[in-house]
Amino acid sequence: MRKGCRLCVFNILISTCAASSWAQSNADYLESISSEAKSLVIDTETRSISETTAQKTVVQSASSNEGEIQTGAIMELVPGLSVDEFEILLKNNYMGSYLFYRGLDDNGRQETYDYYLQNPDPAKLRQKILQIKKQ
Amino acid sequence: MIRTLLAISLVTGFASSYALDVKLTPDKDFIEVIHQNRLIKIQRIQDQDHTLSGGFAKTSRKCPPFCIQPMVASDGVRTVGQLEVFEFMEKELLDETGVIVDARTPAWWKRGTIPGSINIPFTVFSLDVDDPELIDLMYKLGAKRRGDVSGITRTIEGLGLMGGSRKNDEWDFTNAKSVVIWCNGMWCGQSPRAISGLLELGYPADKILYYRGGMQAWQSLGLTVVVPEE
Repeated sequence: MRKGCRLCVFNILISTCAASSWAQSNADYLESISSEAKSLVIDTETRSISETTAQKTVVQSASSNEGEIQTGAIMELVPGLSVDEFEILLKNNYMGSYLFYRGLDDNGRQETYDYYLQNPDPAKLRQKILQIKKQ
Repeated sequence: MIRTLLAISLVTGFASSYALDVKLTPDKDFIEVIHQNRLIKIQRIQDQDHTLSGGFAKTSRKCPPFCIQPMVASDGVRTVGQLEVFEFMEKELLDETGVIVDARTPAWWKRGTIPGSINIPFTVFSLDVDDPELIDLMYKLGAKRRGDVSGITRTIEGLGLMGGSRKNDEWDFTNAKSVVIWCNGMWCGQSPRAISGLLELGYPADKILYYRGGMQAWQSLGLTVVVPEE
């Protein structure tokens, strides 16, 4: 093996080790913060103040119309939206998912909407859109 | 509607005497913010004999990883305290030119957060630039993913024309919002990591504020915390 080539292989090995070590330290960090969070308890005095004075106005399930989505009264992916409402909400609040959704054909969009009706969860929906896009 | 109510409340709420002994500032008893479409009143615990309990009363955690963070997270990023956060809530957050980001992982967020915050875990900022989750969340910060940009356009933008100073190949930060980023406090590295991630994406440093005290300082002052809805 020529000297230049050996140097090249050595550099690749070092880079691979560094990347692997970085990924490991990142995983260790996530593990540490996750286990610290498990034992977390918040002082109950600070928690209770707001909950007694909070004025709840959010609409939990969509018996509503496009107006409430347009004005931002509904910003989360609530269950039971019509196709139009679903698309407006996606466009207003989940632009990344909307861009991918918009790129699907009619069948893909219908499949996405059907999936949303069963799973009104943004993370799951995002994965579903990506899955349909790859098909 | 709720924003109008809040604006009225901000005017009338401070004028009327609420007669709290433990105020936020000499002339401010409380402030109100919108959190997940609820109007939340932020004030301090009124019991002057109360001492903190729970996770944020803890003084020591293993370092690393829970090491004391520098006062400045990154060049150009301003570090702020509680009063600046209150001011931000009353101005930028209310008029929607600003966002408060809880950069902790969801396990922390679910146990309680600062009212008015949205959860964008620091891990999101290291996702692929085309990941829809990253695009979704960057959009909430006012940043837009760019399509194909021609070399000529980038050259012109590179000269500082066409708003080029707020754009790069991937993102348009022209309408980027001001962002207060926080995590568990001075021993927590989650928000500094989020700030590094945002800066690597090209987010303007002058739009980022680092609330270093985070949940630790918030709790030690007896300020209101909300538990997010599932």
